[in-house]
Order: sequence, then structure tokens, then C-alpha cells
Amino acid sequence: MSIKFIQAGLQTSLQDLGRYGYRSYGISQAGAIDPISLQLANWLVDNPANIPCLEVYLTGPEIEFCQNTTLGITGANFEIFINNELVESHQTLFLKKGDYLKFGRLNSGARAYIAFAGTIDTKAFLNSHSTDTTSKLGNNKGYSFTSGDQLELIVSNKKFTYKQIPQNLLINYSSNRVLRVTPGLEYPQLTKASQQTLFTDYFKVSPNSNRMGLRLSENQLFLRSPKDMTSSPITVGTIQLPQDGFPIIIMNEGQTIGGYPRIAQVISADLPLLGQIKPNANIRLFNVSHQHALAILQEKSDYYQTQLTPYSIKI
Amino acid sequence: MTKFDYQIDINSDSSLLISFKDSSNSELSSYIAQLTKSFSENTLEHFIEAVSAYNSILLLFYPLGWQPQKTINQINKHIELFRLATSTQISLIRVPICYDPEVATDLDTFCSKKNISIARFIELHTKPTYRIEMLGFLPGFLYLSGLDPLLAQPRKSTPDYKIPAGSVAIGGNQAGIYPIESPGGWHIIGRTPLKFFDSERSPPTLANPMDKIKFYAISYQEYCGYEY
Repeated sequence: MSIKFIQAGLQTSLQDLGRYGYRSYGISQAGAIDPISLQLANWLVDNPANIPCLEVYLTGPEIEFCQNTTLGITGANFEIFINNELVESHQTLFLKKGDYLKFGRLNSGARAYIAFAGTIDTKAFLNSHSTDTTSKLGNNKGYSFTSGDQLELIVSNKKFTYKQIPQNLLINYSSNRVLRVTPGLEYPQLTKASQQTLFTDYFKVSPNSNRMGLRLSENQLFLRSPKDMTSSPITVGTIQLPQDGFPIIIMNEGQTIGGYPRIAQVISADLPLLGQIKPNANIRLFNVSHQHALAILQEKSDYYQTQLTPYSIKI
Repeated sequence: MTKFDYQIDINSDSSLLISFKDSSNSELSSYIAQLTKSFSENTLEHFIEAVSAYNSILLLFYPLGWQPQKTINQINKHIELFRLATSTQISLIRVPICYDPEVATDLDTFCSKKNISIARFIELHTKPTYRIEMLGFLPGFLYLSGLDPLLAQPRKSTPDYKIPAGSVAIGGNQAGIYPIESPGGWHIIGRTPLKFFDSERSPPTLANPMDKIKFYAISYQEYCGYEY
């Protein structure tokens, strides 16, 4: 045993960059909802970018360390304590055998990532260590960790240099968020009024959102002439409109085929932000073209690469 | 060589959707299945994976540096040259189903709504050879075509919270099998002991799109004692 969960937290699960290539079997990608933060956590401890990390959601865990371990924690801004002493997130942390790491109040964002220098001793399923909590597959048979669970670390013997996430890459997640989207294939089927509402009004994120999807409330949208649609493939970031008129943003554990109109699609550059949206947050959708979306992504990627070079992360 | 009318749309900044104009039919289904597969053997730049549905194929790409229009041109060329293989490996899978009320939780209500006896239901349900149209929505969920029109029934208005793995169901004019426990809105009219999805197995699915399925009835005792 290397680490032990004294308290597991609300939904602490092992994730990497996801499971690709199996959507035609109905298996969605799962993986970190904020893959940028996961990679930055790995950067803090000199790991390759795709090493599995713990994803912590809203209420973090308390962990006992049974051996010396180097950690990187970043993503959401939580209060973090080592042996009851407040320490800063977003930096390399050196824990000694017998130390306790405890998550306190969440100040902003929703998900933090804990990287361990080295890796965690687990078996991959379909080329990924991600936990698919909806379909119950992958790490820990698809379950989040519970109090008392233990994990075996394979600790790296490298000598570590202390690192901090560059100030320019730290995000102060606000509870009013703008997500950039491209219009979906069934966007023209919305009434004129709903087309306008979609891109101007605030939506509230419903508390029953999860790793499958963010459910939006407050504004109801309507189709010109509601009709049954043939089930079609959907993807992460697809915004679907079910019969009740309240949109759902499909996330990493969302289904692979859906039968509701696709009214918009979150741009690739903004997908990691989905992981940092808390229940009851307000979001607004901003309409951009596909070409613009790809240009934003390129710019974002270039920015991260200049900050982190020679380390390379997947944007 | 059959040609199907299609169009390619930019679905998002990382995906393209090929939609076919024909309504779903068996020829189009095999075309879609084979064409989908051909993309993973083809070398489209930035390609991640292809997912098929009744009359569409979604192609996913790594978006960084991706040029959608260039890929659309490549796909048009690929479809132009693509030929349907005449003989492909199609298996016939015989699937045992228990229609006992113990596991077929909606069968009684279903039959009284349809005004048919359970015996007649079983006869109609086991008679056709079904075809797997697609896998998806859940890991390994089987969408089957071939249901006798007499057994078609719209989905439940309120979905069930928990449907056990192996449940055999009817939703609209489709038959389906729930490979893992999940919520769902289809009518549960039987259960199979076969494990259509097993994460310990590689590949985790038992059957593939275009495979044929034939149901046969087993008793509750046989269901409980079924060995893989």
C-alpha cells in the first residue's frame, strides 16, 4: 500500500486523457473532463502528459501517504492542507511517509487533478486507465474511490526540481462563464426567438449534471416543428435539445448515439472549461464559425507551448 | 455497384457528418457498415475514429491544424473509389431468451395492450432473423432490425431508472438488447443469459454490426442454470 483514502471525497476517480477508438462499440471516451489541468499536473512532477491522475470533484479527499511521494495538484482552486497546514496548489509538493493531504474549501472551478511522480499501479482497459463511472468500466470497475481504498504507486526515482504553474496559465474560474460554440446541424430548426435566446441569454447549470452531461435550465428553447429524428452519432461538446426544451451539453461519458436535435457544439478550445463549471453556475453561449474555432485552438496551443517548452501538451 | 446519395457537413471543429438521403434499408446498412470500417483502414489526416448510425457516419478528427475542406475532398474521393465487398464475414448468433415474468417484467402489460397471448408473442418474436444495425448509445447496446410489425410499440413515456443487463426489449419498431445495467425507455419483454458486453473480454462485444441474430425461448430454470 502506498496511499490510502481516509475520506474519498464526492467523486474521486482515476482518469487519463481518455479512451479513443471504441465509440463504434458504444464506448465513450471518459477521461479527464479538464484534460489541460491533468496534463499540467503531470508537468509539475515531470511525468509524461498522459499518466493517469486522480480527478477530484467539488469535495476533495483526505489521503494518507505511506511512502515519500512527489505530487502535482492543479485545476480547480481548492484549499489544500498537508498535516493541517495550508499550502498552495499549482506547485510541486513533496510529501513524506506518514503525511496527510487534505482538501478543504473549493474557491473556484470544479475539478482538480493530483499527479503522482511516477505512476499508479493499475491495469489499462482498452488502452486507457480512465474510469467510466456511467458505463461502469475501466479503472476500479467504473467506480469512484470510497473511504478506505488504497492505491499502489510506482514511484519515480528521478531528482525533482520544484515547479510552479506559470502565472499566465492559471485560471480564476468565475461562476459566470462564456462558452464558445458553433451552430449545430439542427440549429436552423429552432424558432427565431429560440435561436436568439441560445446566443444571448444566460443558462443555469442544473445540479443534476454529471460526467455524462451538463444540464442547462432557466431558458426553454423550442423547435419550429418538432419531429422525431433518426438516432445519429453525437460527441463531446454536442448540445442536444430534448423534448422538454432544456439543452444538455454532452460530456466525456455521454452516450455515443443520440436522438435529439443537435443545436450547437462547444468548440474544442473550450471543452476543458466544461470540467470547471459548478452546479448552479451561469453560462452564456457565444456563436463562432468553425474556421474561427480552429484558429482559436491554434492560438491557444501556441500559447501553452511557449509557456511550457520543451514540454508538450495535447490541446 | 449501388450508389447512395450523400452529403458531408462540418458537424463541429473536430468532426464531419456524412448523411445519406435514402431511408434506412438493408443495402444502405451494409454500405454504411463497410464504408465506416474502410475509414479506419484509410489514411485520412488527423483521423481518430468513425461512428455509424442508421443513415449517417460521424468522423472524428484531432482538431489542431485540421483543414476540414481538405478532408472533405479526400472523403469524396474515397467514396468515389469505394466498392462494396460482395462477401463479408457475417455470423449468425443464436440467442437464448427467457420470457418468464420473473425477468420479462413488461411482457404481461405489453401483450394485454397488444391483445395477444404470451405464446403468440413468443412465436412472433422468435420467428424472424434479426440484423444488428448498430452498436451504441451504451457499451454494446444492440439495435436490431427485423421486428414483426405486429410487435411494434412506442417507447415508454417515462424511462425506467434501472434495466438489468441482458434485458431484451422493444422500442418503436426496433428490437434491442441492453448489454449492461442502465436506465432506458424500452419495453422489457425477456432476458438473455448471454453476456453481450464483458469488459474482461477482448474485444468486449460479442457481436458486430450486420451480424444476424436468431432468438430461441428457454425456461426460467434453463436461464438460471445457463453456462457460458
